[in-house]
Amino acid sequence: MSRRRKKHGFHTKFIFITGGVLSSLGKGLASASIGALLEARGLRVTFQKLDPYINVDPGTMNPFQHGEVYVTDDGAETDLDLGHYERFTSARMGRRNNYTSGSIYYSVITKERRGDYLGGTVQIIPHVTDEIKAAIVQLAGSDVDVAIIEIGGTVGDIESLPFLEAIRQLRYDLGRENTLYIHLTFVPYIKAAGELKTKPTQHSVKELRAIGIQPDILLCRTERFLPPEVKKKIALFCNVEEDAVITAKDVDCIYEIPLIFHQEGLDEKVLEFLNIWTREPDLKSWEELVKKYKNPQDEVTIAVVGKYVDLKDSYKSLHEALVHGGLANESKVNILYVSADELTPDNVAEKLAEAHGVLVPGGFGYRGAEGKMEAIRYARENGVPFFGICLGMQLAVVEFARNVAGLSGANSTEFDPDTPHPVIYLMREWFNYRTQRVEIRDEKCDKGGTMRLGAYPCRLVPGTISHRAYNQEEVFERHRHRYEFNNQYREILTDKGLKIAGLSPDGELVEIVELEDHPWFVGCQFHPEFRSRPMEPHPLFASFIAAALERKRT
Amino acid sequence: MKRRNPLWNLVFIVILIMAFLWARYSKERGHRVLLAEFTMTSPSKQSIGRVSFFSKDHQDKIIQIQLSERLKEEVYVILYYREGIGWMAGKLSGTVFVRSLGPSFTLEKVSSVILRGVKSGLVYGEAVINSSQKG
Repeated sequence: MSRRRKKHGFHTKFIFITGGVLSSLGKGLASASIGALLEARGLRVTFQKLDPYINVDPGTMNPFQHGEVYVTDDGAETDLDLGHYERFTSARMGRRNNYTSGSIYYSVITKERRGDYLGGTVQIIPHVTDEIKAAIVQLAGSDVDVAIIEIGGTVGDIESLPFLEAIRQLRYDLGRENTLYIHLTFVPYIKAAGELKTKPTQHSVKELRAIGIQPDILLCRTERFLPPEVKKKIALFCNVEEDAVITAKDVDCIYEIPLIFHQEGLDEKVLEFLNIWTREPDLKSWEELVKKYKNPQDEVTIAVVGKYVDLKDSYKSLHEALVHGGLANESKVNILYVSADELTPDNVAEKLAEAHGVLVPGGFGYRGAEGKMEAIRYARENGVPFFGICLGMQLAVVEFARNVAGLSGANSTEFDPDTPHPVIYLMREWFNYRTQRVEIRDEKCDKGGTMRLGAYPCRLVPGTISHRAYNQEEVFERHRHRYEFNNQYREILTDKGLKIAGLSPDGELVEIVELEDHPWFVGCQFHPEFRSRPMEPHPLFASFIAAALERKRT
Repeated sequence: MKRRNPLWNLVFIVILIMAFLWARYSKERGHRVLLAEFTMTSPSKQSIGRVSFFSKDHQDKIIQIQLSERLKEEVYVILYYREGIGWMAGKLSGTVFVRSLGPSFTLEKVSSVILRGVKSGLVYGEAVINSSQKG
């Protein structure tokens, strides 16, 4: 890498966020909040998440292990933190914003097989670290002022060492003024002693310094604001400036984090280290958002019927999109997670009695499918607003085929390859407008990265709920599916009252179904939750919550 | 045969050393080319000096600020990259400020140069980098 970049000036500057003590401290939210603050000052930001696991991407991982797989417009299956980045800022994420150890090693090994290393011994340093540095530095450009790089995992993990070594080297490649290390750590409050304890933070920083990284700023996740003497102690033991010890206090509303960080002077300190001069941040929209969140005019209960309900991270974007839908209606949304496994024809009415709306999210596999269809039947028969997403839409079609159209044994070929009525079946080909190619698939294809992924256009049918909600003729929504509505059953089902409300531009793929004679019944093949933002709630979620409120009031 | 005074050897050596030093100095001094020059004005629109950008040996870029008189306090020299977003090139306490901006610097990266008081935060001068004058 050229030493020229070391010179002062305005290049893309890099902020590296690491985490210590334990996982789940909220590095993703901290990164997103820093991005929001910098954007509020007029800077253009982007992000990158570096995940230490060996999977090439999280697409093949179980949601129980990894949480939600977030899909970007360009069809990348990524870490859920990219969802936070998109929700908190105007930055748009894609393939180059998420790398894993697996994808880095894959690239290095591909180069080695191709002979690119000219017979050299391929090693972690410099080959793997150079590959990581190249992945990071590619974010630089005239359209990006600050790139925020989040290193997944916790300092001390063996698998994240190459990433940490790469960011250590980058300070020397890019210069002190162009790089900043922020370490998120934990300061527990011990109730028995009535004290905030700094030792875990001291040890975590010690671990980081042993690798050669001296953090510039410490973000201390804690229950209460750190008093000055605690900050002084942390500063002294961790070799940072006292005003660079920032409280990252627990909050009820995640959209309050940028405001708390600003109050603590984090953005000011970041700019000081990076030698960036900006105007004061305009945080009015964030203040209004938090005010709206904390002062709802009404509340509504939505039942989310899924099979990953024990790990809330599995439905992260969905959860946030429902909250955004509530914000659009100045209402609080209480989310009632219902395990689909537990739903039977006998208990469904009782389990969903409190709900003013039912949502069946995306998922894979047969487990819980019958329970989800019970929830759909309950919503359909009782006029409860229903929102089916991806698998939720497919199951709504199966349920309708079985119980309304009288197609006994109707199913998806995903669950029953020998079903007499495959109303949902494997998508064998589709046109990819991004590559301008027809994609071909069959049952033997690899599982990783072979679904219909990313944003595709959908034409809306006038007069439908969806058309009214979007108030547009054509929309782009993100997809992640392998199975699709079987067009052979289009006529049979529409004759019985199923409404096709959205289609791919060539008319081949059914994207949205609705029901006649139902207050609000929408099933969409795409994932609208990935495009919902707190400042711009997704139209379908806003409309769904409005319908649930209507149901509650009547 | 008359022998040359040995002192001449010393004189030759001194001349050689001086020639060597001069050659090295002239190489180091490089070739400075003025890229553009702008007027630095006070908030009351009075001229208080000049901002010049030079290219050295067609590589390194240099900013030079020459003020007509000393300011009331030390100031930050801030180069604004675009409206509201800038970076500090250094501090100016006298009347002359010279700083290397590196070879990758281009005038397109600056929309204005502002002198802001270190203590007071007051703006003492501003030079608008007019695109028509950019070299």
